[in-house]
Amino acid sequence: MNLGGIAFLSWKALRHRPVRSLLLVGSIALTLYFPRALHIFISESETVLEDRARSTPLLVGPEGSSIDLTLNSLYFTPQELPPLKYGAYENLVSQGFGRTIPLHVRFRAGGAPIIGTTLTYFELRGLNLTAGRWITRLGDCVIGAALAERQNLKPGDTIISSPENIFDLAGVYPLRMRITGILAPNQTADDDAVFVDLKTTWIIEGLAHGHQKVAAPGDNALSRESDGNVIRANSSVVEFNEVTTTNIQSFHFHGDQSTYPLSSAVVVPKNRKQRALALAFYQDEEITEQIVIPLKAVENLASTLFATQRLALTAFRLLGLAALGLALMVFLLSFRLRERELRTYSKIGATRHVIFCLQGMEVAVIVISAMTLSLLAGALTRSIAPEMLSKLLN
Amino acid sequence: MHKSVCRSALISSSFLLLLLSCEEGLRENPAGEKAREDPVIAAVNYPLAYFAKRLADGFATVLFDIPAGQDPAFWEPSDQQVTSIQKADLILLNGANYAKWTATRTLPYEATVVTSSSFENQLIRLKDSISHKHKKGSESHSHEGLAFTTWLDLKQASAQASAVALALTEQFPRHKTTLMNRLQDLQKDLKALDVAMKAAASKLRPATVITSHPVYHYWSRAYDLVTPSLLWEPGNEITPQDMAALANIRKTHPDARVFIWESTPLGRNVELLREAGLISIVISPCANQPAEGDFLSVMRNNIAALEASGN
Repeated sequence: MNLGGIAFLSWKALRHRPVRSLLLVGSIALTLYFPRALHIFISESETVLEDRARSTPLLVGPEGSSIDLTLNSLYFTPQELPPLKYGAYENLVSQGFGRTIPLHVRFRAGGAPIIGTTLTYFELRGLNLTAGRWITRLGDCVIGAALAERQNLKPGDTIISSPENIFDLAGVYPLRMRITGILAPNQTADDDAVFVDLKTTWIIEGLAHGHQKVAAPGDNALSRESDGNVIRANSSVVEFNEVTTTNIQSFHFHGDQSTYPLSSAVVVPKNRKQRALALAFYQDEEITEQIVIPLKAVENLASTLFATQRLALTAFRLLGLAALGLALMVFLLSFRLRERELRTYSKIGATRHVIFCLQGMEVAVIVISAMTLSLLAGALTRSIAPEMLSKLLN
Repeated sequence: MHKSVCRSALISSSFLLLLLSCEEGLRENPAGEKAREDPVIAAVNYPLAYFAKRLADGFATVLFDIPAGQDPAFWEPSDQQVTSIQKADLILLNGANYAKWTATRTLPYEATVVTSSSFENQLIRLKDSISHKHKKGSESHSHEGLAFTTWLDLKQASAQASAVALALTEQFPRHKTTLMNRLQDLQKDLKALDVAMKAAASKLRPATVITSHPVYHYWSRAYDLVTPSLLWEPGNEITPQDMAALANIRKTHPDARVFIWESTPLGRNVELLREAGLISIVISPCANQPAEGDFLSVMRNNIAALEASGN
């Protein structure tokens, strides 16, 4: 019997029991796919994490976990970190260690993180606009490409900040922000974020606000306390929840600005000397902030991931061996059940060699199909891994 | 010989043609495009724009687009104007909460320079504001401000010019020598004005000088004058209520003989004050670009007006 005949008879046999064949292909494909997917996901994660970390030379933030600080500043992952005071940021700027970019990553608009920063951030990340223009005032924002597409937003639309606690009725009003531009996609966490002026995040935080004039004598919204020089505005004073051309002049800041909160500051030294000086500056025990090399933090995280990967791979290999053993048993049982059929082949002239080839062909078709399926799934995983990682981090 | 002459002529004419075509190319390039290639320095008021122009003339363009007649302290820029300012290589701020729009607009932090930082601890805090609270139990606060016409004290103006020069040196290090030489000349001019202003002001002492607007805090501190102020506009006619407010001031300052306006007042206002025994003079803060002359000539006019009133 020629090879074509063997292939035809094997194909017919496999089609005769489609459920068994598909179950075998599926289980072998999954056994091959899982360790491969884990490997792809971890290596892609490492690449994505390191790319972002490499473009962020140094980070200054409050003391605590350097990995939490890095994840919060680079991927906008929500973290419960103490704030970095604006005074500490000003101190950092005055040291002249290079470009310094403040970051405020605490609030969200729906599911998207709101990032308070300066225009230099967009230069650092090489971000450009595909539509609209950059922010020019309080309450303005530019949004990432993925967020714009997902929520069908365009310049001129508005987006509202989410209250931190929906049960705090006396809390700060959500701020309606004007979208002035849409960023070009860069396949990072920036694609899903809302970028505002740092001062806008302070409005959301309640440290700055705009309201109707309260110094007007005879105003019903006022009551004067006994010392005569303190006015208490009652609840009828209208606080603005949107910055407009007409009310922008009424927005003002309260308290000592040096105590205002930030999440961290990116430092981009111009040369190795500035980098060394910056690293040395934060070794002083009296300084309560820490300096982090994001690439090192990410490498630490990656090494933890690799340790986890090794454990998981061992488990997957053992499971894979068990699954392959089961598949082998299924094949052997199947051939035992088909003994009469094989005897018929023998009676009509098929040699033992041809029968062995028939069985081998069936196994080969199943295994090759499973391998092809596993390779396709692997390629798909590789293509969506960065996006999946970005979603997992947010 | 003849061949070599021909070759030389051919090469020379080709070179000439190349030069001409280059020049043509430059002519075709709009002047505006060249200006755009120059570094841009934005300033929030005219004195800073003047200092920047004097220091960086020839290698940077000064952006100061506030329309005539508007007070830069209360100017509100459009989104397009903010976008233009954002593109500047250097943004000169006055400090002392001057130009309130800078607090509510997005400016590139690293490009901004607060020119009054060196005398920050000498800024005058205004006390006539009302504290208020928004909620019972919340902390009271006031929207009190700082006096911001810092440059009318010409020593402070000189410090601001130094801050501008320092920022320019950091931005354009290859022009350091030029900048330092120009700063020296500018400071010499400002020092001469300061000396002349001191001499002119001394002639008015110990009498009180009443001012139409509360913008002379640093000027009166620097030149040792007592200057109670009203809230009068030179272009508005004086009302009986205004005269009552003036009478109130004169009760505590009966020695006042000179009344200072920010710009030329209505003739009727001058007449009314003359009848009340006060001489009107103009001491222009020169916050916006003058219709004629420059910062120095306006200050010279101020000094001349003071001298005339003291005689």
